[in-house]
Amino acid sequence: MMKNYFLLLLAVVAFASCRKETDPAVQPVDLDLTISYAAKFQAYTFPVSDVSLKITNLRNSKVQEGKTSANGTYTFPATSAGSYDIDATITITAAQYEQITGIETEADVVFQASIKNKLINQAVGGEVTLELTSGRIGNWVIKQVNYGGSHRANGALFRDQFMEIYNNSSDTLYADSLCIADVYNSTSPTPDQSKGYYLPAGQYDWTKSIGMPAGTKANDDFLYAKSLYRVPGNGRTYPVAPGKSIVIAQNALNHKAPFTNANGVVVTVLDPSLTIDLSTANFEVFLGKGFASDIDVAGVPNMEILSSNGNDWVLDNTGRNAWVIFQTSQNPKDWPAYPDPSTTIVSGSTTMYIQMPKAQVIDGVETQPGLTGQVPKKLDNNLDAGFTYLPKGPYTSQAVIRKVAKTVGTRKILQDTNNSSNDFENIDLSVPFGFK
Amino acid sequence: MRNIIYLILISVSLLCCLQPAAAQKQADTSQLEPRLVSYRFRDYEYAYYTQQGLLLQHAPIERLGSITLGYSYLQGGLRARQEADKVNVASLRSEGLRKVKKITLQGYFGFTRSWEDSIGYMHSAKPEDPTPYYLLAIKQGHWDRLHYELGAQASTAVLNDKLLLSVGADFDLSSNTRNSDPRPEISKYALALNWGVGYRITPKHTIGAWAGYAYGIETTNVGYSSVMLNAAGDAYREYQTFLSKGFGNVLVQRSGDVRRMREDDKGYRAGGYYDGKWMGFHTSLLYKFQTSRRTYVKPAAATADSRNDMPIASFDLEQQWIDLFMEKHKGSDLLQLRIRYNSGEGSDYNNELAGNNYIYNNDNINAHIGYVHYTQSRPQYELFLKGYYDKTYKADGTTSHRWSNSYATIGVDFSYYTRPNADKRFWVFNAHPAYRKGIDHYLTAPTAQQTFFTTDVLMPNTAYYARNAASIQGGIAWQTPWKKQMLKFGADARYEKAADLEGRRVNLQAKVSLFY
Repeated sequence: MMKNYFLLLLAVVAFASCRKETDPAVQPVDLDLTISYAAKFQAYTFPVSDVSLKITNLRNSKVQEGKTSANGTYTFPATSAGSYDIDATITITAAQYEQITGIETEADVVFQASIKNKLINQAVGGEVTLELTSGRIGNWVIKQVNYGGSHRANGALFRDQFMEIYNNSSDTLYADSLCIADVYNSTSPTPDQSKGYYLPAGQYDWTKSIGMPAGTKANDDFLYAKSLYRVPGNGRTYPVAPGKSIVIAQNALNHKAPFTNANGVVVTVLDPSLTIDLSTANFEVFLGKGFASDIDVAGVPNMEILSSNGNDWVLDNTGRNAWVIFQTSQNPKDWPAYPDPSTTIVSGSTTMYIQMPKAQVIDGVETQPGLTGQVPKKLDNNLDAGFTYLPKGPYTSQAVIRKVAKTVGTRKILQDTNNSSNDFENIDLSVPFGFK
Repeated sequence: MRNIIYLILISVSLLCCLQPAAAQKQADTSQLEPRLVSYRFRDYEYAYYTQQGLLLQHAPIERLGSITLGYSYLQGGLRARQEADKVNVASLRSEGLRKVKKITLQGYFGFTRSWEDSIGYMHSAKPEDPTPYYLLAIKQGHWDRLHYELGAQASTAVLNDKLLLSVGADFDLSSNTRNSDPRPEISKYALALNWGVGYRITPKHTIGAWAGYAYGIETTNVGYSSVMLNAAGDAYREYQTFLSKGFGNVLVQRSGDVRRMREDDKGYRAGGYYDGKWMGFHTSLLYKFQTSRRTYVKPAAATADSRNDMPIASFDLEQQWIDLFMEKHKGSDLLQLRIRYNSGEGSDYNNELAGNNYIYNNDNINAHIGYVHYTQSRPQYELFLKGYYDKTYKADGTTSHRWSNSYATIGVDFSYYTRPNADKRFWVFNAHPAYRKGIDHYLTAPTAQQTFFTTDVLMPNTAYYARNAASIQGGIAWQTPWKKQMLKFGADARYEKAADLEGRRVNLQAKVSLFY
């Protein structure tokens, strides 16, 4: 009798160990990429072969690379399902560019295309088309931004934030009327689309703003300023030689040394090595709202305040930023301003955002918190096809700085492909006026 | 809350304590012993027949009541990567079973407070759970856990004992916190209800069926006391919060994300059984089926307003049990047999990938055969031969990770009861050596898809679960009558050592029980 039960036990064991091991429904997908050039370049026969391709898996940060074939296509076989950043780039030499377009240029021209956070799976498919484009060549560029700040207890917190703007051309430029803007848009990683005022990619749909004239290409043609500051001058007050730059500081102080804040309290940094000396900054932002760290340093010209946000020019140290620079003979204070699309009633206390034409923008840089947890992109590919970030995070003294493309004599030409993912690198401690 | 729990504890205990005055007068030693003495075979009977209310009608236990205070200490490096290095547990458990005329009642209340050290790579109240969705951090930390469980069931026979009816409810509540960054708080509650109907075909053979519904919610919130660590980049990687979305599939949750997740668990359960006399054995065969759908939601916006929560995935788990329990008196001795087979199949639906990305399969068999030798109508020793077999498979589509592990454990459980005199004060000695043998295991993880989770957790765990290990458990207890009840003082120790892994695992327990 007991033998029967042992046989039963053995039968159950055999049954239990014979279950077939199945595979999940999600399977790798062949990612087929096709590149073309933006409409404004299609009059010319730019090459589609040997375009460099890069896909970055946003989950594990793994990168795969390839080059297009003669017909402008390339396949990444058996790509794991998930979200990817897809980038394409090709450099046309100055001679080649002139031969193709008849337009003389000093530096090589970089065409690039970028698609961020693209979902690849069997349901969506793996066919992606990338449109190559190129922005303005030369002129002012944003060279360095220290937005992360330094150690909260031992460093200067956010007081040592600054932006450096560089003359990347071969001519002397004048910084007068140069404007820097913090671009404003939604920072929600997963916005509630049922609200009706978001674009599919998560940015605000500014056509829904109260007062926006019907027919305005409110999203395609304009950006909106959270803050907007302008270099003073009469047009020729502040010359900047080729290969030189200006530094705009939140506080033009030597942050390594003790200073007296707006409340008369002497503030001492515990570890000066974590912060920097901004006493040689060309300009600073002073709002005068009584914020303790908002200092008006004597002898340093203040930026003109066209629009401000908060109690001081404090950049988002987690990285949810985008900045643009432009120079115009118009007065941006005369440009229209609108509330953000989530506003339902406009009152005297409603924040209004100055509407800035994208066509005026000389250069733009976008940052993100990191490779994941990103906020909706504020700048389109014409201004910045990528983003940069601080791998070490905020309050670590780390900053972003533009790479040097080449050196002509003693003048450095900074890389400008309109893709800060490629154009910028990290520096553990920023160097105002310096290079990495 | 605490007062309510104490009230429930007392009520459940009294429910099983009260007896009609006539029965009290008639109590004598022979009636006291079956319910007051804790024997191994009776523990197995109780475990089987209290699974479902209908089975109470067939339990060979007339009455049983106990309150136990216990303390347990577990320590050692021989552990899975997501388990604690050291665990201290204080517990209080009260349970009882009694038959009042035609109604059989069974209830329990349990409370545990545990302190667990050095847990990393998982913020979860259930580390052995098959679900792939949970928040985690690399940084190890100390956990405080509170757990309450409460349940009751009743069954009766009507219509000349032909028709059996049962009803039951179980409630579970837990709170888990960590006291160092990152600081998760996990709260869980679950409620399960069931109803059953049985039919006595003949006085010796009965069949029955039941159905039930279960619902539970588990929420995890992760906070930081340090603002810097809250916004930490890769420089503070071990303090970052990650979301596991599969097997090896982990995604960092940066400061822009709201580090919160809720699991809604709904499920149905059903089963059937046969109980009767067969070939001289009291035989009970049970089949259970249980489904569960867990939906995972996270905030849609950084405002952390729960009204913006959006589902990110779901996990369906189906489980089945076949449970055979047989007992027979051979002369004055007892033979007992139990074979329990459990099968589980789980699959997720990942909203981002719009498909099933994770698969979980598990089969396990637990069996024992036991012999109880009686002397002077009292069990003198018990000898059980026990075996366990387990096979688990996990697969993740997006990471191309595959994992499989099977092992078997065989052991002997021997208990000896001393009965030197007639006043029922006696000692219990127990020894339980066992051996675990890894049968088959593999982990495939393409290099291009590996993350820190693969190298830090999955690879070490593969070696751990595939281990060949020997364990020895020994216990001693002393039982003595006390005011018509029985007090038991017991201590157990278990030691495990693997042949092919460093480290050991030691478990010490002490208990004081009152049987009434």
